[in-house]
Amino acid sequence: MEILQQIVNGLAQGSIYALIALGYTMVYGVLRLINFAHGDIYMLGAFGGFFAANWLGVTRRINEGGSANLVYTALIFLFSMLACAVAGMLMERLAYRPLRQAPRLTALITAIGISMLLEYGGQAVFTPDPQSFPALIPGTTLIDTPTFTLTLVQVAVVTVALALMLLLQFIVFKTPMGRAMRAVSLDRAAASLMGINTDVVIAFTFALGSALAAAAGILNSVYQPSIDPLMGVMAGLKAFVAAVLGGIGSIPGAVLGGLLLGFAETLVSATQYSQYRDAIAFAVLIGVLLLRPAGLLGRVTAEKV
Amino acid sequence: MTTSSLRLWPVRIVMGMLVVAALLGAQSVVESSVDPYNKQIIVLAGVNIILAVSLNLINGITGQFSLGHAGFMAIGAYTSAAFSFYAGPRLALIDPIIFVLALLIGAVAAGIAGLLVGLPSLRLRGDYLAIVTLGFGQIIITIIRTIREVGDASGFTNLPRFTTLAWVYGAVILCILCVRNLAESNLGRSMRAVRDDEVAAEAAGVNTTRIKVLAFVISSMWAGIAGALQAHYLQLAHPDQFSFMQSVAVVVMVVLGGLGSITGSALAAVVLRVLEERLRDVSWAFGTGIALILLAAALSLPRYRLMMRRGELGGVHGWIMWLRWPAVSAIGLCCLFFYGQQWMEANVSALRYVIYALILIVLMLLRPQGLLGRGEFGWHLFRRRKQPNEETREAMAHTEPAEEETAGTLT
Repeated sequence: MEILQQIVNGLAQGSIYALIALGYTMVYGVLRLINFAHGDIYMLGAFGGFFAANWLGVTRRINEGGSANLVYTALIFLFSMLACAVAGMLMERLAYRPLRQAPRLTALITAIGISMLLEYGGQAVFTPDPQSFPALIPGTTLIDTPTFTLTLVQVAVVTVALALMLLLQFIVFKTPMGRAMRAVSLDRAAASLMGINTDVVIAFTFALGSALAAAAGILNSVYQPSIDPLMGVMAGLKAFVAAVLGGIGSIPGAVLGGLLLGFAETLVSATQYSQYRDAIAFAVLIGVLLLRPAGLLGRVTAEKV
Repeated sequence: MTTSSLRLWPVRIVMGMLVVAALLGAQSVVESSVDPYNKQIIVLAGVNIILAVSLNLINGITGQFSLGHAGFMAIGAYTSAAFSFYAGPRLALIDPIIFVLALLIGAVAAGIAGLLVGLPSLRLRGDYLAIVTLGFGQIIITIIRTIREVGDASGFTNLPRFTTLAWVYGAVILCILCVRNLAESNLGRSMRAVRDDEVAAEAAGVNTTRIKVLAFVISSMWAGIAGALQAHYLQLAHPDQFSFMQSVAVVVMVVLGGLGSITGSALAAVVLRVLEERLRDVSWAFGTGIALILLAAALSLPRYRLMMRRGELGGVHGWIMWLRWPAVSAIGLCCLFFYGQQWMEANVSALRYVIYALILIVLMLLRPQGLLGRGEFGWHLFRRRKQPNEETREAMAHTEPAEEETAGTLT
């Protein structure tokens, strides 16, 4: 039973990582850029949800002992996802688009700069102190035995994450925009010759990835209700590891990598080595890069000169 | 070359003694007339120079991207500190010898770590290497936090204070000499070949993995020494000193000074160290903000002039296009300063890093090769103006086109 509990915990944590990893992998797919600032978009998503809950009066109602209305919860998700989509598009427009032709390291350093800007700008705007996120989903326990507990929050996190992944799958494989995205990630020059407006496609990719990260931010804050401007650093790095683990550029790979990382972390925290929890992701990363540099589901591509 | 360098040895020995004398003289002056706060800035600026110049060997000269310099620094700091804390008092040796041993141990430990990280991961390219080194830094910090013998998460305290100004700047000189001589040697040429085109370098017979690992190991050794010097100055080694932000700060120094320029890194290291201290003061933050905006405006001028000359932008329109962002940001900053001074005072520590971040972004967008590019700041700059003879003109021809070309090539 102990192991079952860890699997459930890992599934909840892993699906959050997977949602963030999807953004990394999609942006890498179309631009070959590690968007370091993606983890901070996740942080912005959590804060977006926090402020939306304040404005809609949901926080007050929860503090007075009530529970959040389902419509309002959906509105909070929508607001935060929209705001982050806009933030992601702005970031792409102002910082990455002028560097489209520049060497990859220039873009990478810029991404680090943007990430720092969001983190410390966030500290200046939101204050560095952790804030407590309202419990949008009541902390009801569904199954409660001495060795196994399943909470409504865990079920909700996994369900919402799964729904968003299915939605993404639909967008990428069944819509014209998704087809354009796949074309751009295959060969940007050729896609543009076929009449695809690559600028729009890239902006859309950023918007989509950022919206998923925002949803992950709210889900994580519901799961672990403390948010601060630096929360995106570790989560972002781990999600990146998840993306690499699954094979960066591959959408199912990101989900697989996120889940595996979630399981690995919860399993380690259950043992006596729990203080090494934060190091696990990086140990996994180094192992994967050494043994299978293209990731679990990635394709090995020969380098062209 | 060989005969002249043989004949140079007596000169070098005399020069070395002069340098030591100058260092000791400078130290006595600083000890007697500079207050502890400013002395600390001077000493830590030296540590920063070592860090930046050594990282430049990887990031600038060999063209690999390492984000884990703080990790190697941590290894050097902790091993040397453990040596002088536990073994030092038991050895019947005078302090300087113990310190030299501690520095060597720190350097060797960091070098071994560099080898362990470098050997497998340097087969990876560009951004993957960045991530692996970043991950390595995180792992080191996580491990250090759990070792009780070195003070786990609360820091390793009560270390002996061995570091003085002369030690730090002696190490700075050695580090700059080491990196410069290496960069100008045969190996340095191979390193630059790896940077400019790895595939071509490999095809031309350069053992790229060996070159990269070598650069990595030497660079980590110097990072270890820098960490050791810092730990024995502050008498403290704390995991937070070696966080990801510290690695980023070193990268900012290297990028600001110019990837590949040793003097540029040293200069940027000092400037950023002083800024980091002074930016605790709001008016300095304001001044730096304005300076940054002016810098951005100056750096983007050539592009707009080019566009105007090509007729892509009309006269007034061109000037507006050029000045729109600087003007908007300057107005914003002034508003912030006049109406939000309280808010700024409350958030100076965060704003410090915001300015760091802005320096990175502005530089990457407007002058990706850094302020000095790959050129060096030195006597040749002044010599040319006085006597433009053939020899110096040739020397300039070596540096100048390289700087022009770097506009778009960092890898």
